[in-house]
Amino acid sequence: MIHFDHVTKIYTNGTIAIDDLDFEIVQGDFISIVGKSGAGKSTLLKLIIREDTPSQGAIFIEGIDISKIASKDIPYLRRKIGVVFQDIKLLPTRTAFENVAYAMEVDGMPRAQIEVEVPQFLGLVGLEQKALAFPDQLSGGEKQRVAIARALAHRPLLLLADEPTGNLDNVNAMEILTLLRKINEMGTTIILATHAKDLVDKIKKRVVVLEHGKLVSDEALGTNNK
Amino acid sequence: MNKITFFRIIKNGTLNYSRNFWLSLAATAVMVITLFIISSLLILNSLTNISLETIKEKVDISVYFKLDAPESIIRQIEKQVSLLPQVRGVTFIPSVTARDKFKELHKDEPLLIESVEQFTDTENPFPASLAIRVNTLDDYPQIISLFEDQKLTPYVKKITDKRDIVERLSRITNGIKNLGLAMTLIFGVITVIVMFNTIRLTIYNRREEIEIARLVGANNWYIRGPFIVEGALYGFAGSLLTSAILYPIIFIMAPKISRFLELEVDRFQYLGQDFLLLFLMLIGTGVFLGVFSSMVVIRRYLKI
Repeated sequence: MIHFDHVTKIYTNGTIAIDDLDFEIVQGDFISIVGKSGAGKSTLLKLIIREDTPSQGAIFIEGIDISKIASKDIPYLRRKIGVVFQDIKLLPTRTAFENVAYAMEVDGMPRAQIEVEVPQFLGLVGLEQKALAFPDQLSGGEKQRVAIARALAHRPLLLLADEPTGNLDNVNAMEILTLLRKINEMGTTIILATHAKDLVDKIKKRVVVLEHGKLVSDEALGTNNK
Repeated sequence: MNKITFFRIIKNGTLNYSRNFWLSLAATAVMVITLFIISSLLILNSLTNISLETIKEKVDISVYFKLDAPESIIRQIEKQVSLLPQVRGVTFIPSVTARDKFKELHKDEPLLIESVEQFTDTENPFPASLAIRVNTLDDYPQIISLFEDQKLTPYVKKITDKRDIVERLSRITNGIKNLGLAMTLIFGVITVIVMFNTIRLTIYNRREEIEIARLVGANNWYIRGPFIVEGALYGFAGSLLTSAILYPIIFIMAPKISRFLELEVDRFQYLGQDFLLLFLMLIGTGVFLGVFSSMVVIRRYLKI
């Protein structure tokens, strides 16, 4: 589904963020990308959503070289990819419902359909009772779940999660991971970038370890589960 | 872009405007000042044009004949001159009429009237004259040279040429036009700068939302559209406010100006008729300035 073909990303200041990365993610995968900060995880995610383009090599999503997509078509690529961030990025002036609805508004979905679908997504993340709460009135874990609901609004093929548990305690973090696994079981490919190695080891899924932009290990069932 | 997206863009643009109400008000006020100056200058320009036209109509070549020039000859000249293609009209003013006119003009000065009345009709010192109105000012020299011809010089006493008055007026009109153009440009630039910064602030205030919109796959117009709507709204609100200020002023001032300039047109003929045109021009200029500013900001600060 996603193929990294000898991808290298060098920033203009000379930093090599990604160094000759070459691997494949298949449909339905749950892949964790692990590495210390600065290892190139965020750069990798940015390259996937075409926030940035590789200096060398190419990224193919469903056979299409995404660096060749015209800028006016980038939004359509992004609608196939849901993104969740460590800093959550919810709009503070909108309720949970409106935050999820926002993602649907941007591609011209009619109001009636939004009214029907938003509660479904909030239900999926277990927050149907909190639809009218503002981000301020939600806990960290709840906010992240709203963000996940929003990321799912376009029914993406791929969900990118950049340190989604970074600001959460272990209990909440596990809840988020469980939710991500549930979403994965429903068919969405998930790429989870995190520095919390111990957490990803618990979910026993494929783990890719990055160090200084290089792939140092790629294990099918987590690093400590050989 | 479907209809729903279109309405959402309009709605978000309106929200941009109303959320930063005071900032928007300041930007609108600057727009009002510019539009007010532009329209005042336009009105001033059309007023000077109208008065110039009126004066041109009134300005004629007066050919005064010697007292001994027989009326039959003058009549003959009148006939011939009136046949010239450049001539719009010729009026013969006999010496008696000239005297009456003089009396009328100086009716408040009894001493002058008295001295004029010393003369009998036959020794009337006022020369008979022909008032010749031509089509354009450029035809003046031709007509004048006609009377400087040797055949006519024995009869002609004096030719008054009022071209310099018209020329001086034309220069003033041109001066007003140039000044107007310069002022319009200066205030146009100021408006664009103020709009530019206002919209830039809006973009800054909404940077979070813009980032999220991009990530959830909003297309370019969905993100940019509201800022263009915001710019257009400054222009629209500005032109409405300007009209609200301008029209009462026109309404009150028009008859006074009309009287002052001795124009024989009533106010609705030269301003009233153009009310709609002026209104549309205001909206057009305002919206153009607003949209232009937001386009510049978007190009510079809203990377998609």
